Amino acid sequence: MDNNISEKEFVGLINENQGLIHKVCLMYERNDENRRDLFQEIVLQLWRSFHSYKGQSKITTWMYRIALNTAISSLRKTSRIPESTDIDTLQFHIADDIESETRREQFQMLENAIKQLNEIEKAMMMLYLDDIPYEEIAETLGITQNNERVKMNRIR
Amino acid sequence: MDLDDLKGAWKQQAQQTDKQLLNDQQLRAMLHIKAANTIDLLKNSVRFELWFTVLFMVVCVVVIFLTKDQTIRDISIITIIVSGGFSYYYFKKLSLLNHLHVENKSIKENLIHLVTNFEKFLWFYRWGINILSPIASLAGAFIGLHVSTGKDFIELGLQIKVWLILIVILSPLTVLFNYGIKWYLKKLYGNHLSHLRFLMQELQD
Repeated sequence: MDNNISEKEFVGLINENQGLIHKVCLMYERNDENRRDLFQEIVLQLWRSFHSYKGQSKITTWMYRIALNTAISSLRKTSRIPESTDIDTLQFHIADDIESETRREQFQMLENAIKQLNEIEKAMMMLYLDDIPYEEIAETLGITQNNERVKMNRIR
Repeated sequence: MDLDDLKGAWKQQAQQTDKQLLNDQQLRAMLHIKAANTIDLLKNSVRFELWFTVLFMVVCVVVIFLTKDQTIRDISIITIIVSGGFSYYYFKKLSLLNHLHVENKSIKENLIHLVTNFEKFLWFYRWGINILSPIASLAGAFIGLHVSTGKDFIELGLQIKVWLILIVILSPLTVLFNYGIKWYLKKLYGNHLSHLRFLMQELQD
């Protein structure tokens, strides 16, 4: 019974914040199938760690940590070697209502930028693009804010 | 173009994920998946090996109590001793694999945790099997000699000639096996471990 309650609570939680997990998958996997696998793995890791979540940090901070740690370090069947895909085959769907060349250019630039980053830099970039405060980014990564600034400058 | 200019593009892209949102039922189904990654699959396989070995030991114990044939009893005892070693090996492997999970820690702490435990796992995997394999081969050879010559194990064990022949045959095989295991583990996990080490270095101050 307790397990059912916590399962219901957990599913509700994931439902509210599943956009966050999708974003992590979007950042780390190109291929749709790999992205689905990663999503599943993150949800399962979150479920396995759910009992240890005591509310000491924001739920989104906890979710970012587990999701990023899973995406970065778990041993998956898929290759980590960047795939050479051209812009036409990318899974980055350009919204139908956006037709301006500027927006398209921005998508292309974002995609090109992501391709050049390693997993740590991808995590930093994602948190930055999601407007997460610098202190929280440094805490999530486990580095000092000085080190974080140096790395952000390198990414820029 | 500055990184800030790309925020709009990222947010626009992130909004597209709303179209992929899963419902409660789909999410619930994910919670009951037994193996989501390679480590889970490895754990399942080691668990199976452990249970199989333990079951085999139980069968040998039953045989000892049921048979009156001394040869079969002796063979069963040797098999139990060797299987005991393998059971410990699988049990320890499983416990090391249980440490290879993502934790609610910072990315840096998590990488340190994983690298340390992954190194321990690979070290034990390699040396455990390198020690157990020659022991199992030696036991097999003694059982074979016992069955073919009819001499008892103590008598065979006291013959220096028997030991010399077995050492000459088993030593090169053990060395080859050691290199084989080293190559196999490097091929399977070497890239992953190097990758984790590289990322860990990236986060050093």
